[in-house]
Amino acid sequence: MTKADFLKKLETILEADAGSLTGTESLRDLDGWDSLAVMSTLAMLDKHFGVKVPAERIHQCRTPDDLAALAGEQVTG
Amino acid sequence: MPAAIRDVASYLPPGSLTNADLAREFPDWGVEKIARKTGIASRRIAAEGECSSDLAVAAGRALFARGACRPEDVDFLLLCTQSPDYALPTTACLVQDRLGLPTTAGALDFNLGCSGYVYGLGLAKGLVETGQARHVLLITAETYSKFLAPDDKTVRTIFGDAAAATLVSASDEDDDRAAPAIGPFVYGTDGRGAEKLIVRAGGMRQPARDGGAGDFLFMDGPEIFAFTIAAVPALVRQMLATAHLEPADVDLFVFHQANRYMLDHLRDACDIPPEKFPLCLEDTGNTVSATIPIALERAREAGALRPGMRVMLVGFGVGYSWGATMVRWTAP
Repeated sequence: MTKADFLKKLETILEADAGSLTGTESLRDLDGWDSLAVMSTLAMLDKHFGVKVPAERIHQCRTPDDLAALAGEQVTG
Repeated sequence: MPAAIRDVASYLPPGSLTNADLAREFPDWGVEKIARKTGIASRRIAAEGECSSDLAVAAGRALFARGACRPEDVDFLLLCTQSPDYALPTTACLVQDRLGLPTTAGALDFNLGCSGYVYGLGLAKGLVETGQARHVLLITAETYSKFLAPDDKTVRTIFGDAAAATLVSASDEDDDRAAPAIGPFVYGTDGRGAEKLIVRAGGMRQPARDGGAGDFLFMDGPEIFAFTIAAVPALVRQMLATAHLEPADVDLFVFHQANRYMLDHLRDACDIPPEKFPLCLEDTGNTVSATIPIALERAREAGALRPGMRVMLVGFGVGYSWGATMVRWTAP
């Protein structure tokens, strides 16, 4: 999956406008980044990348790019 | 003598908490979004002074009213609760008396949450098949609402109170089919998750409620979700392997009804078709160890659960504790 597609999935989770994320935003400052969004991100990582991580790992991420890094080389570009 | 489920019945307290009630209480909060995610529109809430034994007795009476057996036939009562009436005596002793079960019956409580129904079936099967009992009354009864902080919106949207009664009896049928009516079982425990879903007060480590956060249920929702993602699909695979079954051999998968969002993800991760996967929490919420028997009862009423069907039951949650079993539906 490309990074652009990853960001699109995150935009859907956050109910944010398409194309609004660049990857370097501070998650904490984003509207919609709440515990439901954390769960949706856990679900997305599992469903699309087979990556199962404790929620703590999500909480440690500061930006969308950090989240993408959890999927390792499966997110490209 | 093989053990089999003879009947199931449930009881929901009359009090309710609807999404509209929550929206009135928390006007600045997006109740609708949460409702959409959890799949819960209303929950039933026990009144002040209405305790687990009261719900348990009502569920037991509902079961007897269906005619599967009489109170005097029961020779063992297993009661699963984490919200007992008292620290002691055992809630099961109160319920034995109030239901009119014989004084020759054994009765005990066991303390498990969302995995409790599966464990209860395992204990009941053990009692029956070792000849210690012929008719085991298994009751799961929970009043989690009493653990919830009034201002904790998240847990108040999820949990509801309920009890369910199941009769597990020695089967007289001359049964040459290979599959047992209950079993095999798969169990699992990981106490590293203890802190993720906990009520700290009320045990001997913190005996008195002091008005602090420890008085109430603490739930780390995202960590619980991460746990289920990791544990449940593996549990389902292990259950199929242990029972020598393919997914297509299973007629119905009845999971603990935690919340809709979690269930949708788990169903997808386990590749289970929606028509084999009942969702039953819209008007009850998550009733902890009562969700599986309530889902069985409702599926039976809807005609989705019929005699002879092979059903997988999957429980998971607080502890962490999890378990699964296969049931060949033998009740009417």
